[in-house]
Amino acid sequence: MMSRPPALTASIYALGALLAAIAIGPVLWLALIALQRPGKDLNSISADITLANFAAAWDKGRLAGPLVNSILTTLLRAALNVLLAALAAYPLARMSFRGRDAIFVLILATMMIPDQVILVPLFRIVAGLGMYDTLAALVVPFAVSALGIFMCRQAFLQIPASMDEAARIDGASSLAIWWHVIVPLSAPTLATLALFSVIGAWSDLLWPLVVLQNSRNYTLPVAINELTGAFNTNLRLAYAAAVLALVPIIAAFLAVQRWFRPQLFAGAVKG
Amino acid sequence: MSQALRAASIALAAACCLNAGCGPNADFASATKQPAQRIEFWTLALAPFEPYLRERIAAFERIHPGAQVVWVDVPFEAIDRKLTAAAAAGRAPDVLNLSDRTFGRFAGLGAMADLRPLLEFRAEDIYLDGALSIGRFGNRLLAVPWYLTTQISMVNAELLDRGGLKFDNLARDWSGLRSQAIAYRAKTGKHLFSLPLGEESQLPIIMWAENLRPLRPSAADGGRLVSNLLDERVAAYIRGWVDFYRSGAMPSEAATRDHSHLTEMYQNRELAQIDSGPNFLKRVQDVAPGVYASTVARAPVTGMSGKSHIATMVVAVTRRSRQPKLASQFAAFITSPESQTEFCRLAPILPSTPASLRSEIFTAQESSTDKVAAARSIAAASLRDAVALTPAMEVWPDLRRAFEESMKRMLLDARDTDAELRELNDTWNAILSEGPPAFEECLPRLAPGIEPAEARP
Amino acid sequence: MTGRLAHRRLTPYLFVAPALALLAIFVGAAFIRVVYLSFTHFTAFSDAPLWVGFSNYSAALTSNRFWMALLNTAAYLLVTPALVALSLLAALIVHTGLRGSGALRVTLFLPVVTPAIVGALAWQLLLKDHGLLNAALASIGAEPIPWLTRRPWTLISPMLVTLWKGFGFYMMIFLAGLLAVPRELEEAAAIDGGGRWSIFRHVVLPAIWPVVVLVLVVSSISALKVFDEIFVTVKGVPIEHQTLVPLVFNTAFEARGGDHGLASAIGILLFLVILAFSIVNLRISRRKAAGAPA
Repeated sequence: MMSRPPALTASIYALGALLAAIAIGPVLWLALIALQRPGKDLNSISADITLANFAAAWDKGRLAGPLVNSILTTLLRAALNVLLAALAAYPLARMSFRGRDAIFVLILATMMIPDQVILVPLFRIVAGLGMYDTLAALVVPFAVSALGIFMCRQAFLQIPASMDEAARIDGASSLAIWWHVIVPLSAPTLATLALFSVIGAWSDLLWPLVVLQNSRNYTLPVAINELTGAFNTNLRLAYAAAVLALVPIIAAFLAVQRWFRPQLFAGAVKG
Repeated sequence: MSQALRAASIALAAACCLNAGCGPNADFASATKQPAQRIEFWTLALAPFEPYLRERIAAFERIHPGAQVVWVDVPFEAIDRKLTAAAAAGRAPDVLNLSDRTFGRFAGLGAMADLRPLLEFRAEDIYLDGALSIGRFGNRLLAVPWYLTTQISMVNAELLDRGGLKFDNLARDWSGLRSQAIAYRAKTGKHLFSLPLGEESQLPIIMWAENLRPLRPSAADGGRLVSNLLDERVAAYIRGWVDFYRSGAMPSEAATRDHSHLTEMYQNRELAQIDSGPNFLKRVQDVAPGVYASTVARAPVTGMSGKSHIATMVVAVTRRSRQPKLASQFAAFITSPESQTEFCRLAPILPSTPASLRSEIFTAQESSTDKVAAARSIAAASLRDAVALTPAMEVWPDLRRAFEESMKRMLLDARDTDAELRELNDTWNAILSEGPPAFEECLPRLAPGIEPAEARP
Repeated sequence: MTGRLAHRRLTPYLFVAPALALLAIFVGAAFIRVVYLSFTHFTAFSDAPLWVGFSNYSAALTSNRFWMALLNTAAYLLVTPALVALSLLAALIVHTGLRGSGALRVTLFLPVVTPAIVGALAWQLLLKDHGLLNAALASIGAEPIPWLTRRPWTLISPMLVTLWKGFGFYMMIFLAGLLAVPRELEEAAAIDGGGRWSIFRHVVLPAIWPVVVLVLVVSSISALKVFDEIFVTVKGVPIEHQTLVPLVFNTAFEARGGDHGLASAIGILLFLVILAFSIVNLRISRRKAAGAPA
C-alpha cells in the first residue's frame, strides 16, 4: 500500500479541520451571541456572558409546550413511518398477489409528487377532516412515505427467501415471519428510515406554519419563527431559542451516532 | 389469533393512539363540541395586556350569561397568514382586532360583516368621527375604532452628541433630518435615523403630511381618483428619498424590513433617532437600559404640513361568524368608553371615544420624571396635530403594496427611478380603475386634528 | 383449509392497506384536488370554487413574478455541483481513515441534524451587514457585501445554508460508495505504477460514478423544492428574489385573500418542472452510466 507523503497528510488534516470549522462554526457563533448580555451590540462578543437570554427565551417564548409537541409528533411520525413502510413493503417484496405490481407503481408514482406542490389542497383536506390546528395534522398526513416503502422493499429483497421458508415450515404466520425474521434482519435500513423521519419531522417549518394556529399547539420551529417576528425587538431571544431547539436533536444524534455508519447507506447506493 | 385479526387490532390500536388526547396541554384530536355561545376574539400584539383583557372578558361574560369568549393574541407579522389560513379552514374568529392597514386589506375581500344593523346604538354617538371613518365603506360600517397610537420621537442624546448635534438643533421635519443625517454619517460613519421604505412603507403616509398628493381627482370621469405619481413634486420627492437611501445615509434594512428594525437598531445603538409608539420606550427600558438612560422623547417628526399620523386600531366582526349578534355586542363592549378609559390607564395609547378623553389621565404631566409617562403626555399633546393620513379607499392597501414593491426595486435593484415611477403610475391607475370608484372626500384632510379637551361626542 | 387460504389471500392487502390508504388520501387525492383547484378561482374567503378554465395558468405565465421565481429556481440549481464537490471532498477526507476521521464524520453530519430554521438564523446572523462575514471582509480590505438585501446575494445566501446543511448527508452516501470500491482494484492500479491522482481518476471515480449521479439527481430535485432557507434567511426581500415554493406559499397564505386557485396552478407548473427535470436527469444518467468517463 502506498504511503502518503507528509505534505499530503498535513493538507488532509488542514482541510478536515476547515470543514469541521465550517460545520459547527455558524451555530457556535449563534450560541455565543445568545450568551451575550442584552443591550450590547448584536454583532460583538465579549467574555461577559449570561444565561439570561436562554431563561428568557424559555419563559417568554413559552418553549415548554412546543418542546413537548415537537418530541411527541416527531417520535410518533417516525414510529409510524417505520411501521407502516415495513408492513407495506413486506408483501411487495415477498408475496405475489393480484395487483401487486400496480400497487407498487402507484406507490412509486406518489414519490414524484413533492409536498410543496400539494400544499394547498392538503391543507384543505386536513381542515376538512377536522385536524386544523391539531397535532394530528402534523402526524397523520406524513405517517408514511413512498420513499420509506421503497427503501424497506429494497432491504427485504436482500433477505434470502430461504429464511422465510424455514419459518413457514415451522408453521409461522406471515405476521410472525415479518416480525421475527424480516424486521430484525433489516434493522439497519429501518434505523436509517427512522433517523430520516426524525430529522425531517423535528425540522419541519412550512407545514406547521400553515396548519397550526393556537400557540399551545406550536412545534419548536414555529415558536422560534415567531420570536423572529416583527414586534419582538430582541433577536437574542430568538437565537437562544434556536440553540435550545438544537440541544435535544443533537443529543439524540450523538447518542446513536456510533451505530450510524456509512454502511447504512449501502442500500441507497446499490439502488 | 388469526393474522387478519392481528393486523386489524394493530390498525385499531394505532387509530386509538391518534385520537386519544395525549400530551399535556395540546389539542391532539379535533376540538370537542363547542358551547352554543362561544365566540373567538383575536387581538394584534396585545399579549402584555393579558390581565386587562381577561378582566374585560370576564366582565362581558357576567353581563351575558352563557357566553364564552376565547381570546387569541396574534403577532403583528403573522396576522395575514393566520387569518387567511383560519378562514380557509373555516375557523376565522368572530371578533377581530386589526390595525387600520391590515383591516383595509381584508375589508376589501368581503371578510367583514356590516355592523350597522347589528349595533344597538349609533356609532357616531360614541366614537370620534375621524377614527370612525376608517371603518366606513360607503354606507356600511365594517369596523369600530378601538385605540389610537400616535408616534413620538425617541432620541439617543449621547449618540447625537458624538455626531456634533444637539437635541435642540435636531430637525423636526423630514427634509431637515435628511440633511443632518448626511452630515452625521460623514462625521461618525453611522446612521442618524431610519424609516421603513420597502416594507410597510411610511412614504405613502408621509407624502400626505408633506402636502403632496399621490392621488388626485381626474379632470374627467366625475372627479374619480387617479394616480398623481408623475406630478413633478411627487416624483421629485420620491426620487429624493431613493437618492438619500443610495447615498448610504440610511441603513440597508430600511428597504427590506418593517417598523421592527427601527427599535432593534435603536436598541443596538445603530440609530440615534427613531419615531415610534410610546410603548416602545418601555421595551427599550427593558431590553437596553443603557440606551434608555440616554433617551429623550419629543414630538414626532412631521412633514411640511406640521402633521403626523395617527394609527387607529379597529375591531370588526367577520362575515362568517356564527354568532354575529353576540360578536357585535362584544366588539361594542371592548371599545366602549369605559373599557377604553381603563385601557388608557395601562398603556400609552389614546382612546377613540371622546368621553374617555375627558378623563383625568390626560391632563398633562409634561414634566414628569417618569419618561414613559412623559412620553404619553407628549403623545396626547401631539394628538392635536395628528391626522389619520390614510385614504378611506378599498384599494389603498393594494396601492401601498404596489408602491412597496416598486420601492424595493428602486432601492435594492438600482432600477432607474423615472422608468420605475412610470410603471408604478400605470399599475396604480390599473388598480384604481379595477376597484370601486373613489373620490376626493376619501383623501386625508389636513384639517386641524382632535382637541383632547374640547372633543365633542 | 379454505379458512387459511382465505386469510392468505387477504393478508397482503391487509399489510399494504394502512400505507396505501394514507398515501391515497394525503397524496393521491391531494394531487387530484390541486389539479382541479388550479382551474378554479378560489380564495380563503370564497364560499366555493368557481371554474375559470385556464385563467390561473395564463395569469401565472404572464406574470413577471412567476418568471422571476422560475429563473431564481433554475439559478438555485447551481448549488448542486458545489454540494456534490464539497461532499465528495469531505467523503474522501474521512475515507482516508486518518486519526480523528470518525469524529470528523460525526461533526460534519451535525448540520444535517440541525433544524433548518436554526441553521438559517445562524447564517443570517453571520451575513448581516455588520455581521461577522462582512467584518472579516473588511479586515482584509474588501468591500462589505449586501448578503441579505441585494441580488444576486439574496439567492447566494440561502444557497450557502443549503450547502452547509446538506454536504454532511451526501458525504455519508459517498462514503458508502467509496467503501464499496474493491481494494484489489486500487492496489492493482498502484502495482501498475499509477500515481495517486491517476488511481483516483481511473479507478475510484468510475467506480463511484453511479453514486455521483445519484447525488446529483437527488440534490438537484431538493434544490428545486427549497423553502425554509429562503423564508428565514432573506426574509423581507421582494418576492421577485424568491423561488417557486416560497411563491406558492406567498400566493396561498400571505398575499391578499390567499389565492388558492393561483397557488395551485403555480404548484402544478412547479410539478411539471420537477417532472421534466427528473426525466432529463434519468436519460442523461442512464447514458452516462453506460459510458462512464474512462
